[in-house]
Amino acid sequence: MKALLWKDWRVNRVVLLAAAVGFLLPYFVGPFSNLASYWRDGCYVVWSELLTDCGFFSLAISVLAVAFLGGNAIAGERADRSAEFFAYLPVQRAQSMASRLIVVVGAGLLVWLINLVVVYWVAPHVGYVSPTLAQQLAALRHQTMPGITLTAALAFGTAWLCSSLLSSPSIATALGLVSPALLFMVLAIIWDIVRGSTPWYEAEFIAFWYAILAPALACLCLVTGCVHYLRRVEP
Amino acid sequence: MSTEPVSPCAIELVGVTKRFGKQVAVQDLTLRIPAGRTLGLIGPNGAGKTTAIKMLMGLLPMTAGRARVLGIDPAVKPVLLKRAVGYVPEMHFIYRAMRAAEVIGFCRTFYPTWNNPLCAELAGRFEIDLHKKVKHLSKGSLAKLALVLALAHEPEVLILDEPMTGLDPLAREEFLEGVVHGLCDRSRTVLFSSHMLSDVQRMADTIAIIHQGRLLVSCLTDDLLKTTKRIRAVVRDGCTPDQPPEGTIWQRFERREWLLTVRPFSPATLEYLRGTYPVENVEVQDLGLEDVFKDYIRGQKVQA
Repeated sequence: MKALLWKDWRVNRVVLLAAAVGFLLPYFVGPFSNLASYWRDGCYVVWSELLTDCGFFSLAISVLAVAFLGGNAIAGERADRSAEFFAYLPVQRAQSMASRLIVVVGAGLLVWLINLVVVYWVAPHVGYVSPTLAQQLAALRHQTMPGITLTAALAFGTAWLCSSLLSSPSIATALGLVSPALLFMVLAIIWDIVRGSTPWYEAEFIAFWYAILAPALACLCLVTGCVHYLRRVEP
Repeated sequence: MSTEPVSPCAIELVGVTKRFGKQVAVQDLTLRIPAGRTLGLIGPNGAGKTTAIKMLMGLLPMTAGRARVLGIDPAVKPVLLKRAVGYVPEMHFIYRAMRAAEVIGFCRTFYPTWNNPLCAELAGRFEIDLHKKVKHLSKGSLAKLALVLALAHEPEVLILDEPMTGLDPLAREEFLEGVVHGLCDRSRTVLFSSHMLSDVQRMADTIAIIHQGRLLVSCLTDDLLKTTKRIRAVVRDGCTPDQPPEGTIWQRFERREWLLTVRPFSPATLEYLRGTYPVENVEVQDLGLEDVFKDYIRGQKVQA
């Protein structure tokens, strides 16, 4: 298993490094722009708010990262045909799949957890935070966090499924990234159809069903992708 | 067609068929390779050699029939089978971003029987630069690396699927020497598919010719060459032979010259020709493997 984990790290190295850069970028850019603003105009964003913003930016970028990781997880090796070489080796399909999942989900979760710690635990305790700002930040966390989390889960699940079906990591990634927007559009169309018979506003309707359908679809895609990978005879 | 089961079969394909949609890639192929034998599987492009080998390796599901390698069903126990078989494919898609040493280290973990000293010896013999990335290795070095990976776990069965395609003569020679060394080292069963008939003749003690997914012949190389003869008969003007003797693989008639390739050849074949047609002159020629192969394929094309 160690060898498989090492192999998957090697195969996904570029995507993982890009994800790490994407994760860290807001934490470098944010403070620099804050300091620049302070030197230029004498005003700055309080560190607590800045860190929260950086955390959210980092999470938004990590949606891209998880889609790339999911899209590359299986299809990446098919694209350069190293999957054919791998197919000759005496490796259990389940082990191979577990290793891929551990590497890509592990990387995604690590980024997610660090950002959650920053947003929920570090940011509220950095410097002075007025009660009003604390309330605003809590509201921001409450409103934004579920949306980003669900979007990331759906993007990853779809990308994983497409990766197990296709031989092109870019198409799998693109489909993963498009899937949340597609779901959103479908819900908007449905609301348009049922608007007369529902007491909900459009935003409420979409948010409610998105919160139900996105994780359900993400799980369905993940499981279907796993089953297909286990049953498929490579290459 | 003759097969000689002298010992238990290490490789066995029985009635194997593979269809891709309406196209039949392999049709009712039955092939048995006794343990310790080296079988050269030859056939033109698209004959179904690679498809048959992939089914044998469990890399492609069969439409019908059954395959066994050392008694293992590739569809049921693929991991066990891959541990027992060393496989060198035609194209080498080893992880390009890894160094040769990393590839060896990675593969080693999957084989309980991996022999480190043997691996080092083979890598040294082939002069593979283990510190180079796979993408920087020459085609010859890549093929040799694939052979090292196939031999280092000391498999009982070695399957080589046109492994020398595109190699220059020197690299081919070195590769072959490696295979021969691997064979001499211990008694292995080898299935060797190639277009290089001289290499096949050098390596294989048994030959199987396959065309359009069907097995045309499978027998000992010496037996095939000994019993297949080319007959050149000159008949009298006005005679058009219409009934070739039994066992005719291929024939051509031009003016008065009648060329026939026959297997099995016997004096009775000549008696039949002399007795049936006004033959003025008859010559019997020995054939090399290349001519035998060509005549089998030409004969099939004429029939088709």
